[in-house]
Amino acid sequence: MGMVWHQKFPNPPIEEALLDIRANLPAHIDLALLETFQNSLKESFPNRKPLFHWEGGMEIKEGVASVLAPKGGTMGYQFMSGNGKKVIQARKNGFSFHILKPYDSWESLRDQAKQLWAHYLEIAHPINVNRVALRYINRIEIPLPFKEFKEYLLIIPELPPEIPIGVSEFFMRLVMPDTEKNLAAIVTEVLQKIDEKKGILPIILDIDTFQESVLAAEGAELWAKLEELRNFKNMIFFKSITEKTEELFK
Amino acid sequence: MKPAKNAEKSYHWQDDPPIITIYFNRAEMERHFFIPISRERASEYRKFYSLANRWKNERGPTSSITEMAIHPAYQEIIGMGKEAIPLILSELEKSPDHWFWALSAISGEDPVKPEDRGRIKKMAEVWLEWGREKGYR
Repeated sequence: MGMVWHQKFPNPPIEEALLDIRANLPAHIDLALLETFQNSLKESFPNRKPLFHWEGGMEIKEGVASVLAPKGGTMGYQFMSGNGKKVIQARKNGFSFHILKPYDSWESLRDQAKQLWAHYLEIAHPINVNRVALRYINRIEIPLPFKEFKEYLLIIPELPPEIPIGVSEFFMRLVMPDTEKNLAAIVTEVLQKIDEKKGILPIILDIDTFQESVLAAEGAELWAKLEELRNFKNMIFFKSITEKTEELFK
Repeated sequence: MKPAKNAEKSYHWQDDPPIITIYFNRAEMERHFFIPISRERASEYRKFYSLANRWKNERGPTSSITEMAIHPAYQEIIGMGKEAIPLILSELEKSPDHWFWALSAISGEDPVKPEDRGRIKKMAEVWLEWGREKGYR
């Protein structure tokens, strides 16, 4: 993967871009400390809500149903900008930064995330990082009419020509590990409903790239790894679309 | 499409009965799918439109703004807080309606001048401009 895949579009199809860093925190880091993450950021991120995680279930054994004891609880906090377009999660297992459209640039996302991660380091003192991820949710509005999905998208379900009918819905999830570089991608594609007013068929192309390995919480290696994920994500994106699709973003 | 190189080194549940593989795959897929904030908000979208439709259908032909605003569905929309603001503004843009009390209650602001009160279309324009200035549109 020696090539570098970068192209900036004036009208990118990005609905949301998120950067996620999972970390191991010292035992003494509790929710009260995570809550203080907002203190110096209240002007930019005035809104806060807790993040919950619950697991529960039931078991049927010898014809008798019983409810398993639920486990979980508050795992951190979500802080939102006034207009809801930027979101930070400060959690017991790490940190994430989300930007909703309009998307500016990778440099803007990365630099803001770096500052916020530095703030998370001051509050949570992570021992190390165990996973990094970069996920871009793209919404590609394909103009109608068109004959073949392949005019715009190259990762699509294939039907044999002997099945002479088209597709009105699909949900496709591909997990693609690159075991040589210890990276992986989860690509999710969903066909949305035709918008007759706009004359478009929207397709979601969700590309999540990640690596699970231990990294130092501070230092350049973490950010170098995110640059590598960005390149990997871009390669998948640009190889999944056609020149006709790129014209939609210009 | 080809299988991944060294796929056996990736996680898998090949030793589990097929139904367990499907169960864990489905649960993990669902968890992963809803990580993005924009997807989490889809459930807020559904909640808002369910309440908005209920309010419109149940409020009757009354012209009393107070009666419209104390309708339980309208109150629940106010209870959604700031997440409802872009959805309300989107509704205002489609068709001016008595959303102004909700917008004021949630935002704590009121950009409408006294001389414009009662002029629904004008009030809608003022709130939509407010929404653009605040970055909600």
